[in-house]
Amino acid sequence: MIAITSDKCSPVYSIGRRQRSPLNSALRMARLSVSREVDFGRVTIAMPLPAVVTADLRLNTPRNAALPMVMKARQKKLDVRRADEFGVDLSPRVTIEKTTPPPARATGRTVDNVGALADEIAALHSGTEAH
Amino acid sequence: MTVLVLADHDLGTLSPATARVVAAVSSLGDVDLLVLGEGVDQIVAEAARLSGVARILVGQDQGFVTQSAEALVPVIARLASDYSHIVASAGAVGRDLAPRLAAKLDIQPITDIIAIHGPGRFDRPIYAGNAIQTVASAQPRQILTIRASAFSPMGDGGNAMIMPLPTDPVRTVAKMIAAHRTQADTPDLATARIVVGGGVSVGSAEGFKLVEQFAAVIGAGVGATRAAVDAGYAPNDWQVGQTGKIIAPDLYIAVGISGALQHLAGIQGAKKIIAINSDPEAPLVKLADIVLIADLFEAIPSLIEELAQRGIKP
Repeated sequence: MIAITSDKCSPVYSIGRRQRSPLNSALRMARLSVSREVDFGRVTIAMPLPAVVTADLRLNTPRNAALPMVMKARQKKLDVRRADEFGVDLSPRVTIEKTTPPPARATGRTVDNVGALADEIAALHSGTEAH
Repeated sequence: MTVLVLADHDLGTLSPATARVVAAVSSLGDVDLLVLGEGVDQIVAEAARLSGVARILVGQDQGFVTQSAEALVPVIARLASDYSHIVASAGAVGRDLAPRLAAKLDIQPITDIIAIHGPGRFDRPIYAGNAIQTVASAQPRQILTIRASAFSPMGDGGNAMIMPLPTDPVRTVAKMIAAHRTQADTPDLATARIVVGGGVSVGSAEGFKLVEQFAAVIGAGVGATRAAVDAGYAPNDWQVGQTGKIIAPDLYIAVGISGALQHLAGIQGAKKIIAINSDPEAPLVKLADIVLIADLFEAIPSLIEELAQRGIKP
């Protein structure tokens, strides 16, 4: 769906949101330079525009729209179309069978002092090493 | 049915996640492992030893080094028609390429799987791990990412056939300009058996060193809360939680962590949780199996001493 609308509107760049791939961006001429987190640290990637990027919530502090702008935006005409006008089938391919709470954890206990905790850790430590 | 698993690797070695992904999907059928990189001989040798792997497909090109989705997806897409399932670990590379591959093949991907019930039935966590969803897919083939820490690793004992893959020179539009690797000699967070996590209550980067020292004593990986990372006490890739890494160690020791929901989402797979905290009402204290109510600046140094007396030292 996004691919088709992008085609029709030819945006400079689209910004979506993904929780797991932090990314900082800087527009340089007609290229986009972004910094993103990977498993081992960070990488900087450059690409020509147009580009599709997703942003981490740490990218920036949100800018709240001023009231006059909100009023102005409300007056804009919305172009609402049905997905099938674009020849796109949006029926889900994956069905949700059930949603369950995760297995409950056993209730914990409190140890009195550092020595007792050291005993617990020592026991668990030898246990994990034995694997 | 045959399953194609993309091998996860870094710095010329196979990542521990791959053995876990292979174990996860081996019930689905024969497993072919795809290794894309440059100078991957050691990776291929390690992969060939994995039990349950039938063939290893090896594609070598300088363009694969960055493991970008743009470089990897065309190769995987070409192979797709031979496979019932195309699978990657739900790490940075898998998360990057699954959507692109899915769009190319017009298949709805199923991500971050923690249990496999059959060829088209899977469990995956939603709402930051506060619920588990069982989903069913009847698509002609499945694109899956697997949460490696939810599965035990496959053992050695295999003898896979190695097949070089003809590949065209890889050209990508996006170029990697720089990579900043966090220097750490601690075990890999995602697969460590023991992880010690530190929160913002360590007060400073200096204070966080105490957490690192303690981790070194017991040979643990080091994790941090988002607040500790944002405060600059720990590097980004140590962050454990919904927006960081999801871990499932045998033992998680939370030092001075109150337990924001976003952090709890990352540690719910831990078999045992120990909390050291001065606040008996902290959510993580309520969740933990074993709790010590104490000030971390007093407790950790004496804990290191006590452990040394029991023969546990770095």
